[in-house]
Formats: sequence, structure tokens, C-alpha cells
Amino acid sequence: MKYTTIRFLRRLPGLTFFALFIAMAAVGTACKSKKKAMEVDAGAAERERLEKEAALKRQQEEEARKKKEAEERAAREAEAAKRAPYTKLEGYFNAISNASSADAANASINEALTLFSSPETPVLIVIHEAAGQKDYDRPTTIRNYLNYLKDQKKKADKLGELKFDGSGKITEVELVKQ
Amino acid sequence: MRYLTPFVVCFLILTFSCETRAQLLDKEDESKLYAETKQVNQFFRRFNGEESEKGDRYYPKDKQYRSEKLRKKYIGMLFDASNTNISGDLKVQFAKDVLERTPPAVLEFHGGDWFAEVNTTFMLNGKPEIVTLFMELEKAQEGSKWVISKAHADVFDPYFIRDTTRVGKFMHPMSHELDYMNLRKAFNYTDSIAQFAVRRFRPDHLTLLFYEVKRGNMKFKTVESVKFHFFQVKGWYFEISEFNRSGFNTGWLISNLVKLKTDQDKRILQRYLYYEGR
Amino acid sequence: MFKYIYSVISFVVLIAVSASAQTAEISPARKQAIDSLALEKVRDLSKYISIIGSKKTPYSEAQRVMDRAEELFAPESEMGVSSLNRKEINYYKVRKYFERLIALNYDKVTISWYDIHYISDLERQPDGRYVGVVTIYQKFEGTSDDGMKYKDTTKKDITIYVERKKTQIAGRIVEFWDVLLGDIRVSETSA
Repeated sequence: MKYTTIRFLRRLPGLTFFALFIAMAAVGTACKSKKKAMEVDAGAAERERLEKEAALKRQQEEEARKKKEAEERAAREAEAAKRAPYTKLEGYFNAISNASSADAANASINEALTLFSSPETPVLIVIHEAAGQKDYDRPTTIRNYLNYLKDQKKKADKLGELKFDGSGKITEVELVKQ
Repeated sequence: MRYLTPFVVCFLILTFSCETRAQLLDKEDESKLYAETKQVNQFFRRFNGEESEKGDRYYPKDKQYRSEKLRKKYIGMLFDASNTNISGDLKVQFAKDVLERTPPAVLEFHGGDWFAEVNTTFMLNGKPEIVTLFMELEKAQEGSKWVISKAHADVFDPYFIRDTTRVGKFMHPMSHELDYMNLRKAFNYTDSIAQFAVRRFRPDHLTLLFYEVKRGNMKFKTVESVKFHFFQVKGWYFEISEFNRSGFNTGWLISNLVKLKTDQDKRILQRYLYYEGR
Repeated sequence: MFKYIYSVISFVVLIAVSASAQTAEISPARKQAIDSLALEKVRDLSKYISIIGSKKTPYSEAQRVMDRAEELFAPESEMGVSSLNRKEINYYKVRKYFERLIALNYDKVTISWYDIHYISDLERQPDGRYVGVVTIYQKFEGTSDDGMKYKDTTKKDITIYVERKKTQIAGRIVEFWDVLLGDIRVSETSA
């Protein structure tokens, strides 16, 4: 046998061991990469899942917010619709009290009267309230009250409650003295 | 036309044109009006310490209600300061007595022992005559009302004079045996017929007033002046009158004050005020 | 024995009930509300008078406003007016007074209000109505047709009647406080 061969044979276990080591390392690295790759794969999936969840949550929150806004808007509109006759009547009161002439005041009075079932619609004015009991001034009619505002040119009493008939006309007015 | 102007202007007092505007008036003017005892009601409230300087009512639950300090301040300003007949000492005595007795004296609107003296003018057969009416509060049904208790008119006095000679005309003690036939002579003696009346006879002017008004001989014309006499504070008499003048001491104020030592003093003074025995 | 106790108890209860019925009716808070209402009607009257007395107001309008002003008053109410120069009191029925205002409209009139007002306690009349007096002050300055200027300050003592009333509204009974003005005493002051 040649010397190199013998040397090679002597070194074979070492070499074998070395080769094995390299192989193992390679495999290990490959495993790690794969694991890492596998891990990377798992992380991405998780992220994707989380992102999907977050997106879903955001979408849900957005929808809830929009729903709430819509509800609030609807409530406001309903409230405004309910207050509309009050606001309108208050507007007429101001117009009559601040009218620049008797004719202008009379025009506002005639317009205002169209909101009512009749010019004799009763007007109750609260002067005092205690323990649930209301004290009233002498009741009057809406026509008389509007003419009173025209003559006196003063700020109307605060609008309390209005009562309506089936066709939306005002049938009773409650005012409150401040 | 000129003489009518003040008369006509009286209406102006209540005439407001469209150019009416509310103005912030002189602060001093307003403070004088606050100081004025504007109503008899306010005299009661101030005397009793039942309202603030601005006229806001105090009720029993309020700390200041009838407080001694408040009443002392008020009683001082409720006198007519220009009246020198009421000495400072007497005022102090009065205030002390009112506030220091137990309980402190307060005036009650329905407490009695106070009355009004109202000087009026009536037309008697076309001629103006002063008639003094005495009035008091009387309970009636659900509330109360002012009623006339007595009257006095100088114009009625001459009808009731008695002969001032020591022994004048009289109906002798045996008149009864002749069926009082001398009544005929007595009633013919119209000069002083009242001397045939009993000694205690006092003519009632209120009866005469009602009679003459009913008969159409007397007609009410106007009220000239009003004052009030108070006997409600035991041991004291005071009178209040209305003072319409400039300054801060105005309105209903005490115009007379007398200390009454006994009940007899009170009776004598009352009779004097009612023109009885004058 | 029991009859006696029963009588005493009944008597005590009767007094308590009648006392509470009298005093519980107008509490301080309620009185304040009624006072405000009364004062407002006094101010309303002044405004009506300014419209009636103004040259600019057409006759038909003045008539309508006189009706409104008269509604503030109890029937038979009168004005009693005196001045410092003329102590004698002149008496006028309310409507008559308004009618004279129309005839006497002035060139230039300035009325100033003093903020101060005094409202008496409310006393009960024999018919159960409450009565009180509101005192207010006004400063007047006027120029007549011939250029004469006149000014004065007047005190107004205004009677107010307050009564609890009932009416029917939309089929139900409504109770209210009816506040009406009565006689007015107007006197010129030296203030």
C-alpha cells in the first residue's frame, strides 16, 4: 500500500467524522433555515391573521360609529322636527314684539294664527310652580296674546308645552313667566 | 286758558306719548324714594323690623326678622324730624320701652286700638263744610273692612248749645203733675233746646251726617287729609301723618307722641281726639 | 266624658283647619309671584296709556287699546288726581279718563320710570278677595302747544285685587289667580 493511502486511511475516521460534522452542520443549518423558514412562515401567518382581525375590528368599529352617528342624527332630526313648531312659534313671537310697524305686526299675527286650530286657542301662563302645582295668570286666547305682544312690544313669556290635534294644529299653549 | 293749564296738565301726569323712554334716573332721587315711608303698611313693617331697606319682606324664617338692631335703626327714622315738640328724650324712652319689654311691642294691622281721622269736605246746601270722620277696621265675613265709627262737624255744634247762664230755662220738678204741658214752651225755645236734655246727652254727628246726606242736603266732595292714632303700644299714644316734602325724612311719620301713665290718661286723650267734651 | 273629649278635639281640629286654610293660601313664594304679576300689569297699563295718548295712534286703534286697558281693571274703578298747586282731588272713571287722554294728545312728552316700587301685604276683604296696594313713581316732562314746559314727579298708589278663580279649558277645570287693578290715587310729590 502506498504511504498516502495509508495516511488517508489513518485520517479516514477523522475525515469521516469531519464530514459527518459538516453534514450535520449543513443539515442543522438546513433544518434551522427550514425551521426558520417554517418559523417565518408561521410568523407571517400570525401577522396576517392579526392584521385581518385588526382590520375586521376597525371595520366593525367604523360601522358602529357610523350607526351611532346615524342614530344620533336621526334623534336630533326627530327632536328638531318635534321642536319645529316651538321654534317657529318663538320666531313669530319675536317678529311680532319687534315689528317695525302695526301692519308688519299684524301680518306676523295672521301668519302665526295659521299654526293654530283656532284664534281662540287657549293660552295658559304659569306664574309660579311648587310641589307639582302650577299657578296660572288669567287664561287668554292666542289671538289676544299675540295682540298683547304687538301692543306691549315686549319679549314673550317662555314657551312651555304645546298640544296638537290630529292635523298638527296647536290646540293649547302653555307659557311660563320668567 | 292759562288757569286751565295746570288742571289739564294733571292729565299729562298720566299721559305718555310714543316717545316714552325709560331713563336711568338720578341715583339720589331714587335713594330718597327708598327712604320714604311710602305706605302705612310700610310704617308697620319698618316699625316691626319686617322688611329690608329696599322694601323686601322678611319672614319669621329670616335672620333679620324683627331684629333689635334693625328696629332700632328704623324707629329712629320713623319720627318727623322737624317736629320739635317731641323731645329727643321722649323718643329714646319710647324706643327703649318698645324694644326692651318682653315680648318687644309690635304693631298688628288687625290688633285694634288704632283708628283713622279723615278730614273731608262736604257741601251743605251748596256751601263747603269740613267734616271729620273717624274710621276703624272691622272684621266682616271672610275678611275685614274700614267703617266710620264717629263724625264731627263744627257746623252741627250750634244746634246743640246749652244756655250758659247759671240758672237758665228749665222744666220744673212738678211738671209731671201737669202731664208735662210745658214741653210746648220748651220746644218753642229753639235758641238752645238742648238744655232740656239730660246732662249726659251728647249729640251724635254721624247720625246727623247720614241723615243730611240721605235727605240730599249734604254731598261728599273730597278728602282733605288723613292721619292715624295709635294706642296699641301699652302706655303710649302716637299719631302718624303723611309728609310730602323734599329730603329723606318723608312719607308716613310719627307726628305726635305722648306717654300715658294710666288708663284714665288714655280715656281722656281718646275723648279729646273724638271731640267729645270739647 | 267621651262626649266632652270629642267636642274638644273637634274644636281644636276645626281651628287648625280654618287657620291653615287662611294662612296656607298665599305663601311668601306665591306672594312674590303675584306681586310680579301685579307689577307687570301696572307696567302694561302705562304702555297702553302711552299708545292711547299718542298723536300717532289712529282713532280705531286707540279704541281697541282702550278696551284692552279697561280689561285690566275691576268695574267701577276710578282715578283720583291731585297736584301740589291744586290739593283738591279730581275723580275720573277709568274709561272717561282714557277718553280725555285721546282728546288731550301732546306734542312732546317724556316719562321716566323710577325703578323703585313698593307692594303692600294682601289683606282679605269681606267677600274673600285679597286686596293690596302697589306704589310706583314717575317723572313727567311735557311741552305744550304754546311752548310751555312742565315737569313733575308723581306717586301712584294702585289698588290690586287678587282672587282665586276657576275656568274650564278643553274639558278640564283650571284654577288661576285673577289680578285686577282698582282705584288709583295719583299725587304729585315734592321729591
